[in-house]
Amino acid sequence: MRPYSYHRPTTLAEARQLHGELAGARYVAGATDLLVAIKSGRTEPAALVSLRGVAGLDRIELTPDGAVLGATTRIADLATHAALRAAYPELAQACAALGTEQVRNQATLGGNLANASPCADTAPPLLVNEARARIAGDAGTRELPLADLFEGPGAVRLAPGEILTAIVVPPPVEGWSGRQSKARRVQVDVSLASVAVRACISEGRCRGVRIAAGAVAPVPLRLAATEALLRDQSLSGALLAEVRASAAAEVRPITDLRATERYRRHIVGVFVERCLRALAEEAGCPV
Amino acid sequence: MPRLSFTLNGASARAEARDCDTLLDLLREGLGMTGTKEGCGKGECGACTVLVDDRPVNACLFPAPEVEGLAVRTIEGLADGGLSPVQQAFVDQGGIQCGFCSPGMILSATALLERNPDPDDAAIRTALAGNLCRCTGYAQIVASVQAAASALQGGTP
Repeated sequence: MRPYSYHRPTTLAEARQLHGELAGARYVAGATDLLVAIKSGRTEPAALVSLRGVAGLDRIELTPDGAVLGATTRIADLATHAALRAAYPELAQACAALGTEQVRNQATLGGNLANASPCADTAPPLLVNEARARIAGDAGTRELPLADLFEGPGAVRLAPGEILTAIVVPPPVEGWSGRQSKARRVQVDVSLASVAVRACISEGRCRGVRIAAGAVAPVPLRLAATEALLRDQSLSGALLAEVRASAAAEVRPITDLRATERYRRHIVGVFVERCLRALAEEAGCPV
Repeated sequence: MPRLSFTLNGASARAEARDCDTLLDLLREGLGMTGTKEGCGKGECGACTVLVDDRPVNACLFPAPEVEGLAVRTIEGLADGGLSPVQQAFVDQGGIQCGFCSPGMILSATALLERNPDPDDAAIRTALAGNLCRCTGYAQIVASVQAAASALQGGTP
């Protein structure tokens, strides 16, 4: 392992300055993925600029205008936050099921997203809430839809030196709720498929729906075609069977050491149906 | 090498560590505290579990410089005159065979019971999912945690 220097700035400006000055520098937060990559030789940064001590990045703020989730907020804190769970159950579920207790106590929201693994667990629940990414850079602060942040496996649309500082989530709307489901071989393993659904279901009708899937494409993605099948429709077993098939066809998984393409397609369909049934039951109109 | 100040098992500690060392390196090599084990070195097995500010973390993935000012608890810090109730329960219930996973397992169990004094089976297994054991098949480990919970609440183990 190539030795690296470790820096602990306390402000964003200091962090960005260090990152600009130090050759071969990388930002780090929880380090739960980066240190594994460094130890295996997959990446060899000369310097790590830690964001853990930067003021203002570790926060969960819920207001009538929505939520602001700081980038260095730990996954464990998101998982156990009662008000967050009430507003965005799909996000709390995803965080509670991410890795193990030990990983959740170090891993961060910003790290999970900026690392841009296709199987990032926090991405699908944030996508179905149409969350935005807040980024600090040379020109100040900018925001963009979270969906636009992901470029490909391990790649985010951040200019050199830019820092993801927060995720901004619109407020929950009355009548909407959400669920998340994921599959992995053992708890410590990354997801081989994950699904988040946010929907407004009443009197047996799907008034609105958003569906996102992770680990089944180069980036986490919304399933727009499957959503279209559901909008304004009465939920029935037959419709859910169509939805299951549509979701399975809409994702673009690969076969790898964790699962086959065929299994991933199948389980995504199962999860979308499962989440919709749970939401229908919550709304008092089980399918 | 940078000198780090933190709290270790309730007492002030100072240790030197390289920037690229982990908390595991600092404990084992820097301080000679070998109760914390290295199993996989990549955050999958939990043998290196320690408590930082009462929360279980994988010491093998915890950058040493980040320990500044924090409170660390290792397996060496649990016994106080005698074994802690959690340690005793593991001994009594056969939750220890080769012992390699035990420090991490016992610390994770200790942290669980501190935040949830009456966990059911599922809660125990979820909390300990990051601690792998190759010997016991986990049944005696779950029984140990249940017995410890009982003992801590004042009942018979």
